[in-house]
This record gives sequence, structure tokens and C-alpha cells, in this order.
Amino acid sequence: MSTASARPPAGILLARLWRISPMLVVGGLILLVVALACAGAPALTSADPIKTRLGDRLTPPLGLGGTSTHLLGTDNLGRDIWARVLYGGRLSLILAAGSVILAAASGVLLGLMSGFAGGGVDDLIMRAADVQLAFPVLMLAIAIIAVVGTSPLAIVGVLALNGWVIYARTLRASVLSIRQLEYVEAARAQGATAPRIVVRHVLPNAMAPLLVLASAQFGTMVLLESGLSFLGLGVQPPQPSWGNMLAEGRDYLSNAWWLGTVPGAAIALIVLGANLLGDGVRKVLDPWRNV
Amino acid sequence: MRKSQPNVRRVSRRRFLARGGLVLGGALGLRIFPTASYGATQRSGRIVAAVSERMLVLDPADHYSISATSVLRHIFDPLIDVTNDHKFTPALAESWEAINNSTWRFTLRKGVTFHDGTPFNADSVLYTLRRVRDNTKLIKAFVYQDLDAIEKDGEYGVTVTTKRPFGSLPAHLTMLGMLPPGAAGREDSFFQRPVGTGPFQFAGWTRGEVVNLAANPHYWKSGIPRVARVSFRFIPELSTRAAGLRSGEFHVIDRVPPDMAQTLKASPGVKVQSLLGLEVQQWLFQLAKAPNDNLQLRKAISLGIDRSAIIKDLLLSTARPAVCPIPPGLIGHVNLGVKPYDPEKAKALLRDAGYQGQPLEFVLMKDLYPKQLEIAQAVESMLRDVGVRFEIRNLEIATARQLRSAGKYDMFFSGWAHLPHDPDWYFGQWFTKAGAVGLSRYYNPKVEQLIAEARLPDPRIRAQRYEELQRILWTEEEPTIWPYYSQAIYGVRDTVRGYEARADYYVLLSDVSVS
Repeated sequence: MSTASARPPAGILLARLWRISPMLVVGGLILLVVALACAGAPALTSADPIKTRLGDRLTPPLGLGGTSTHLLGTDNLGRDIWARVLYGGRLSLILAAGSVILAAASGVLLGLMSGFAGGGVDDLIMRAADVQLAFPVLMLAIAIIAVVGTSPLAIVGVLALNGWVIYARTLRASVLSIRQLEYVEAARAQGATAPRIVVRHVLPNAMAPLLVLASAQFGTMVLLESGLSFLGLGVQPPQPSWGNMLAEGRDYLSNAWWLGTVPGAAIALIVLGANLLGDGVRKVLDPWRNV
Repeated sequence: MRKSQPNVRRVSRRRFLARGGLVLGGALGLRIFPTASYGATQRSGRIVAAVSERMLVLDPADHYSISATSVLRHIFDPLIDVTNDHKFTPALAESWEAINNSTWRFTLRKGVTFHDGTPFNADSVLYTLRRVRDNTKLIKAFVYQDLDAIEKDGEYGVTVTTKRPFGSLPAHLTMLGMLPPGAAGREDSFFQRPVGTGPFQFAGWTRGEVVNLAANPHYWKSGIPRVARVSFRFIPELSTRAAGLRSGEFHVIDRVPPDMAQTLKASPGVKVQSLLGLEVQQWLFQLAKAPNDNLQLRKAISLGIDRSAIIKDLLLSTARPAVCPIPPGLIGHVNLGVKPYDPEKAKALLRDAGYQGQPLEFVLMKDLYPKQLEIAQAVESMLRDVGVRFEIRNLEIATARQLRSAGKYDMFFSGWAHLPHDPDWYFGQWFTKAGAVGLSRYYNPKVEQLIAEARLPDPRIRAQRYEELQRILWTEEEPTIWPYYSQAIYGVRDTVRGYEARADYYVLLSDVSVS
């Protein structure tokens, strides 16, 4: 845990990270660029992602017979695909980030409880985790969304429900091993309360695997959210999301490939970025790295 | 089960999940073709048709599935056939007439035998009609509840009296295959290996996958059938049907959407056949709910929808703008004029309607109608331009239907194929108080009266009543938007001779040969 005064300039830090793990830098940059592009959608396009223009439908991208008004062409209803990818990405990324945060928070909490309390609580939480793992994700999602509807909150909830288990399990394992260590014993001997031990000693030391999990899971969540939207369970048309754009483009693969290809490429890019980042973080945080 | 609710039963017939009919039992053992001798006629070849809807029953009285109607028409003959231009022609009945408003008399064809050699006569008709009237577990039973006495009138005559006028009875009979009376009391085993008088004999099936048929060498219509064997495969996935057609594995496929039709037209060895179908699209308003109960708002919405843009750009001109609820060719069709597109007038009406901009829910049954989601989004966008906000809810079919019966929608994307080539069923279900209570909540005593009068057997009276009631619906009340009539589009191999694309979406292969 370096202090502020000892922090080297950003450039040097980046170069150092690059030496340790180029993957981390590349993955991080991909995510950053995509996230910035989506956040700055109104600045990058003036087109309305929802407005249909039936006369302009299925115009190809620029350079393939299209014009600069529609950089990536238009879809089956004449909507600008560049605008839809950006605005759709906003929603996809926010939903994925929200669900990773929710999943990590609840998973960490339950993992801590499980590891610390042990006994009945531990059993209860771990069996709940088993049940969760035994359930096919999509079936559960269909069931939940059929009941509560397709609001963004419901989507985040469904995704988080699918994601909390790995955090809980990982954290529980860390807690069980850290709990035995001398410095925890020492803290306890000095009269530290359980919450203090968790916050000061256990969590910081269990953080590394959590970061790896979270960054890798971000990609999975984007994929899963796209899957839900693809099946019509996620973001509802006419609101764009990468998943429902892909679904609409599927029928046009033979005569207008760009409809499905563009959102598909966006999903692939994000998942690639998140996985590279996850691998990179693992490498950077690996305590055995220099051995 | 929901089975006892006539409402659910009726609306679900289009993609029918045949409830009941647990006929799975013998399915696996029956896949081998019988080694029948095909007589003197030189029948050869095999036609494979791939249809989109899975067929789940072999009982002609226990489904309202279009694919089951198609397949079972090959095994069983009905009393009456219907041509592509909606003329009723003799099948097992040589003639029929309405003796008075509530009595029909049928004269039966002589010299017809079932596949097992037993002769066809009035007993077959008596058994078939009484069964579908009395066994209320059968899905078609609700239609035949109006039948009163079903009596023999000689060896080849049957008289049917009805509790109220039943002018559409001949039309309904086109969908009901005649059973041998010997099936009585052993229906379960009979429908594992059904025997009819039809042009093909049942040779085996795998429920929901494939039905195999072999030519009936003794069919009463000479020269029919033209091929030795026919298989129906059930393949809901469009791309699989299309790929099979292009590779030559299938000879005929049904339910080709407009974009795929363009692709198929460019494929070698494949033809596309299409014609205006019996189907009208309808977007229902929930009339018991504000603000849809406001006529001005409904009129504004109707004026805000550019039907010709939808037809031209999304359906690639494979539909025709509606001019009244009943599709062309059927009794009661009348030209009441295409509904205009006039966004300025729509905006003006909207101001008068007092609509506050609250979002309305446009509910869709997922993947049921080709291109429905695109069309709904185009409609949403058009209406946003005139100032009406819609939210699209694309839901699982069962969920959407629940919302519809509960009245929790503002506009509902639906359609209706006017089987059996007659509008009586449609109006009885959607525009009478009893039917509409779970649908649009429509009720107008005058229209109800007209629907009842349109059940008289006299076709002139029927046509006049339908015209009058459609005028009320089309110009005065606009309880529903009928945007267009759809086309039935089929893909056919060019080796197939004599295939006729059907307006009722059936796939009929008795008169078809393959080279």
C-alpha cells in the first residue's frame, strides 16, 4: 500500500505496468476507450438512436457504398448504427458495471459472514451458493424477469444473482486462511473487534483475487446482459443494446451483415478487454511475481 | 387445466400446442412404411414438406393447428373442401343444402371406402359429428355445441338441426375429417394409427417431428394422389427450413418471411410462390381503459400510422393495406377504403382528445408474427412524431395473453387467419360481449345483433350484415386497427409440379408430383 508521496508519475507507472503485464495495459485501454466513447455518445454522433427512417433502411457502412451521414450504415428500420452502438453500449456497460458491483458487494459480505461466523451460517450460505450454481443462469433469468418485468434494475439484479457466488466462495477461502495468521491472532489479542479485524486485516489481504475476479467478470456480465437482451429478456426495443441489436441483425446476416456484425464486434471487444485486464491484474497482484 | 376455457382454446389455435392427445405411445414403433402395392397407377417419388408449426395430434377434432389440418387432410377427407378462391366444393358430401334457417341436409358420396376396407356411409358422419359435439374435451367441440340433432336420412344422407342458425357450418366442416364408426370406444388406439378415406394412408410418425404417409391406391378421386410417399417434417426454425429447401432435402416449405423470399428467389432450383392470405393483422385497443376509450385518440393513432411505408419498406410489398376487417375473397369483404395517413390531422385530433402524453403499452407476443418487432418499432416511432408515446412490451406468448385477458395493455399486436374461410368465428369471438370480455372489451348491442343475424344460411343476408357491421367498426368506432392483409409465401423446388400456394396456409400435396 504505497502512500501518495511515493507515487511515481503516471507515465513511469504505465511503463512499469507494461513491463510487468502488457495485457493489463492493452485491456485497460480497450475498456477505457470504449467506455469513454459510450459516455461521450452525444458528442460523437448527432443521430437519434431510436428515430426510424424507413426510406433509409439498410444503407451500408461508409466505404462500402454508404455515406458519411451514417458511418456504420443503418439498420432494418433506417436507424443510424453508429449511434445505436454508442447509446446501446452505454446501457450495456452501465448494467454490467452495476451488476459486477452488486455481485461483488453481496458476495464479499456473504463470504465474510460465511468465513467468520462458520457453523450454521457458513453451511447456510455455502449451500445457497451450491443451489445457485446448480441453476442454469438463463432459466433463472427467464423466471425472474417473467415475474418482475424487464426494468434495468431487474436486469442488474438477475446478473448479480448469477455472479455473487464466486466472490463469496473466494472470500470465504481467504478468510479461513487469513484468520489463522499470526497478525490476526495478535490483533485479536490486543482486543480488536471483529469488524475492525475484517476491515483492517482480512479484506485488504483478500483483495487481490477479488480484483481479478471483478475485472474478468465484467466481460462475462456484458456477455450475459447481451444474451438476455438477445433473447428479449433484457433491454427492450426500441432502446438499443448490443444484445437486441444482434438479435435484430441476425435475420439480415445474408443481405446486410453490418447489422449484426457491428454490435457483435463491440461485445467481442469488451470481453477481450475485460479478460486481458483480468489476466493483467492477476499478474500484477501476484505476490510470487518477483520470486 | 386451462383447457376448459373456450377463450384460451380459440385464440391459441394459430400456433397451437395441442393439449391433450397423448398419442406418443406407439410413435416410435410405427416408422416403417407399409409395403403397399400401388395398383395400376404409376405413382412414384416422394415429397418432403417442411412446415413451421409442430403437429402434436392425429385427431382431426382435437386441434386448431394449421399444420395438423394440412397433414390430416391427406389422411381424412372432410365432407366439404374449400378451394383457394374460397368456394366450397364436394368432398365426402356430394351436395348439401339449408332446408331452413336451422337445418342442414348432406347427401353423401357413394362407393368410398376407408383405408381398412370398411365402407363410408352416414354412420361415419353421425359418429364424427356426435363425437365432436358430445366429447367437450375435444378442442373443436365448442364450435359444434350449436348442433342439436344429427340424424341419418337413408344410407347416404344426414340431417343436422342446429340450436340457432349456423350458416358457417359447411365452412367449419372443411376442417373436420370423417372417422370410421368402428373407432368408437377405442379412440386412444385408433389415433395412434388413424384410418381415414383420404388420398394417403398413415405410415408412421414421431410426434412433433415427422409424419410419413403412403399413397392410398384405392382413392375415390382418380389419378390422386400423384406420388407414392409424402413426409411432413416440422421445423420451426426458418433458416433450417430454407437451408433444407436450397439443398434439395425439402420440396416445399411454408411461412417464408419477405426477406427470405428475396434470398430464395435468387437461389438456383427454388421457386417462391405466394398469394394474398386469409390473414388480417389487427392491433387491438383495450377499450375499457383510459385513454384508449377515447375515440379521438384512437382516430389520431390510426391517422398517425403510415401503413404503406410499413408494407413497402418492412414487408417488401408482401402485404396489402386493409380496406375492411375481412380479407378479400371471403363472404362479407367490402371495400371501405384504405385508412389515410395524415400526421397533421392526427396532431389536431390529439389536442382535442385531451391526451396528456402518458405512455401507452404496445404488447407483442414474442416471435409470433413475421417482422412484428420491427413493425412495432416503426409504429412507435411514427406515433412519437405525432405526439403519442408507446412503450413496446415484447413478451412470452403466454405472458402476453395473460395481460390481454387481464386488460393490462393499451394496444395489442395480433392477427387472425380467417379459418375456416368464414368470418363468423372471428366476429363471434372478438366483437361479441362474451368473446371480447377477455380481449378488447368491445361491446355494441347493434353489432352483436348483426353478428347473430349473419349466422343465417342465406349468403346474401350474411354478406349484407357483415358489410353493415364492418362499416360501424371501420368508420365509426375504430376499436381496432386493421393495418394490412398478409401474404402466404411458400418456397418450392422447381422439380415439383402442380403445387398450389394456399391462402389458408395449408400445405396440400395430393395433386402434386415430383420429377
